[in-house]
Amino acid sequence: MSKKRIERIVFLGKGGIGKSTILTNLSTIYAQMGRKVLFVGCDPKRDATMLLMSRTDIPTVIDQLIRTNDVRLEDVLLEARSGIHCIEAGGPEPGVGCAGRGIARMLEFFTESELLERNGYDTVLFDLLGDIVCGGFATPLRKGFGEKVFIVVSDELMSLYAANNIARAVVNCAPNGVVLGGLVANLKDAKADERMIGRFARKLKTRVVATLRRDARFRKAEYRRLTLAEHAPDCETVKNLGKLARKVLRIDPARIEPPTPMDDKTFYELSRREFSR
Amino acid sequence: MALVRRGDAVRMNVTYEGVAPLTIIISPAGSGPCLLETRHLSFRYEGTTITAQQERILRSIAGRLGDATFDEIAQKVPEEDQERGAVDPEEIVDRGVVTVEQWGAPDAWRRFVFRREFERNASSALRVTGRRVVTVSHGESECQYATPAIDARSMSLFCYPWIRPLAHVPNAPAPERSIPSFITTDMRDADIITGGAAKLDAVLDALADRTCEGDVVVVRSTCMPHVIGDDMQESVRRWSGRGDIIYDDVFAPAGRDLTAELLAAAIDSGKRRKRRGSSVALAGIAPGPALVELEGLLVEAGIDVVSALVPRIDLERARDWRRAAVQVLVPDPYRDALYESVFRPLPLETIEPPTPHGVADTRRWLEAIARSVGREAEMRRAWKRRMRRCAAERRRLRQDAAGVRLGFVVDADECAALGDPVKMAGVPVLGVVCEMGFGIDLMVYGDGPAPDDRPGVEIHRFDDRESLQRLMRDLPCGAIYSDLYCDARITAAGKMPFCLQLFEPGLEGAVRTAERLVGACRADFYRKYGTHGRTH
Repeated sequence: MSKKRIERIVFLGKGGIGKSTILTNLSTIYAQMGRKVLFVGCDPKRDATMLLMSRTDIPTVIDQLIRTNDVRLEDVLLEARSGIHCIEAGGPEPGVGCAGRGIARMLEFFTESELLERNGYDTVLFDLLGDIVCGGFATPLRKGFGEKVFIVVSDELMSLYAANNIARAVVNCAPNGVVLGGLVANLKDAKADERMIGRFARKLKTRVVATLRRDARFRKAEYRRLTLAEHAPDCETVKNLGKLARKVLRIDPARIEPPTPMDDKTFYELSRREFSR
Repeated sequence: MALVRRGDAVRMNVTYEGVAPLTIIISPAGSGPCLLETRHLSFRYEGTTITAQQERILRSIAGRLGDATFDEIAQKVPEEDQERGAVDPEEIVDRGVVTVEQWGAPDAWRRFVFRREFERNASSALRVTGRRVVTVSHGESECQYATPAIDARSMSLFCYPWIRPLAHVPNAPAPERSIPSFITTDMRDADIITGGAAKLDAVLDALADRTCEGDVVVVRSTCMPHVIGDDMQESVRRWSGRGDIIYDDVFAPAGRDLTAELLAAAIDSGKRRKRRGSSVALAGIAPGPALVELEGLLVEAGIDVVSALVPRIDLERARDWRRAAVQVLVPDPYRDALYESVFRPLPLETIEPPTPHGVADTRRWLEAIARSVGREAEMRRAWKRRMRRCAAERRRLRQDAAGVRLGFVVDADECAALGDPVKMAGVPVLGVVCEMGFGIDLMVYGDGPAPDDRPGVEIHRFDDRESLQRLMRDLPCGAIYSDLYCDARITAAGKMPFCLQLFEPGLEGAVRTAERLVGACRADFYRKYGTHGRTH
């Protein structure tokens, strides 16, 4: 019997760019499609898990580790609305400790407990915070965890800079089978230069897989502690997210070439010309 | 992965589990057709086809090399057939200083002197005495195996010179009798993730109720709290109002040096004590027979030693420091910061004669002190008496030393360092052993000049690992210098390793040093059994 393929999806990008919002919606959409979804929160803010769970007291792997020096699956694996399973790494108070080690420790727990294999998931989504600043934050890109990486960008320079850095991490982790699935443009500005993002994507030898635009309903949904896919399932934005969800599944990692990130100097030189040459 | 240079290209043999072996050829950008070109490099592969997985690996390597130039890579990679050692590509990415800490550094096979290791751990030599000491080691318990040993009885990877002499060495002084109280915060995963400073604070709070007046708390950091950014200095500062506390940083202290502050305060508290005429205070000689002998010689010459500090930090004796007419600082590269902050600013005459290692330098050191307090004639007489007492012993040891040879392995540009006390933890090693009459086999890497032309020194060149191994095995030296504990490269060659732990200052210290070195040369254990422990 062939082993069941697990879609292992990682969303990365500059802080505040919309990763968690997109990923919680994708999780909901996948669950609505009948897929067995595990949502992995790797952000000490744990905001995405809070949204999916409609509660704020989220027990985390790190909390359990502190409390009992041991972690039991039943204490940290939560079931959200729509049957999505959630697990949250948690992390230190701001300004102390090592959040990267927290993420690495949670993934060690995944291996110890055979979480991905035993529970029959077919879709695992990793929500990481911000840029990949050190090895700890890159542990979801180790063998057996993340596979398809998507970078959320806007037309702001530093979001593209972070995307270029993340592409470097993808190159470093390529031997683990990690690929860059593409960029997701999340544009808050109605006049945002979409074509410039396309040019940037081509420099990285990747493509823009979806373009999402500002939608006030996101905010309304968040205040109701719902994802947009639950709050306004028939709206245009949710349809776009649905298209993205299907596109993500169709991507074949074996057919994707590693990206070609730029060194800093080249990035700044090309960014002056808005990546036109 | 293995790297080798052939002509104008670097060849990288890559093997990954489940992927067919691949040879990547790296050359300067623009040097011809290639699969991939970065800013400075072009990448080809050997053969006619490449699989998707192999290509992914090639692109990954190209990405990791970033904007490295071909010259930067080439200079770190050996010529084909010249050197068989595999070079890890990580070394090329990392352009920092090559040290023992970098596992697999390309020159690790010929490194026998580890000054940086001593430098970064020098603070562990400072010992507070005369008071009960409670040491709080903030870090993982496992770390205790890698950091300098707590006393002469525990083992370490390096032969730290201040843990001296070893218990099994002839005439070694007894190890410290009082074992200080030792507490570890034993950082666990959760502490690393959430920060360990709170745990250190909790341990210090608990200590506040358990220590007595006069106790000294030493907080010793390990690497992990530095990596995660624990603010240990702040924890120590907060506690400092409750008693005497010292922060012993595994790295160079970035802010306040609490050891210096504690010592300075103790010295300052005795500033009203009456100054004595021909008296001196000594800094930089470890407690032991050598200090006893040197103090004795000074007393014989009518010079009173009112205090001796560093590496021993005796807060009671520190109060007598300012009773001295002259303070004597023994040159020591690892103590200079302490001298600068505590001793040199004091309103005392300061002399810093060369370190008293070996007979001639010990005499010069004593004469300089005697001159500073006007006791030269008395010192000459004391010296003569002491020399007469050990003359027969010295003659015998000189004869013994003349019959054996010591070996050193150095790069050509490092030869001079062997005779420089600043470079060798305060001991001018080469000068001392030459004075004792030992023959020296200097094994020198590279073509540069080997400037040491002392009598008895023979220079032997080597270019690679094999020729060094041949030299170590075939040369007549009985012992070879290494700072690594029980260095297997030396023992496998059938020779005995020796290190700075065997060296003692003073006249009798020189006699004991010579006796130990002769013993090391004559010991035939590794000659008989060294091949059994051979490593590859």
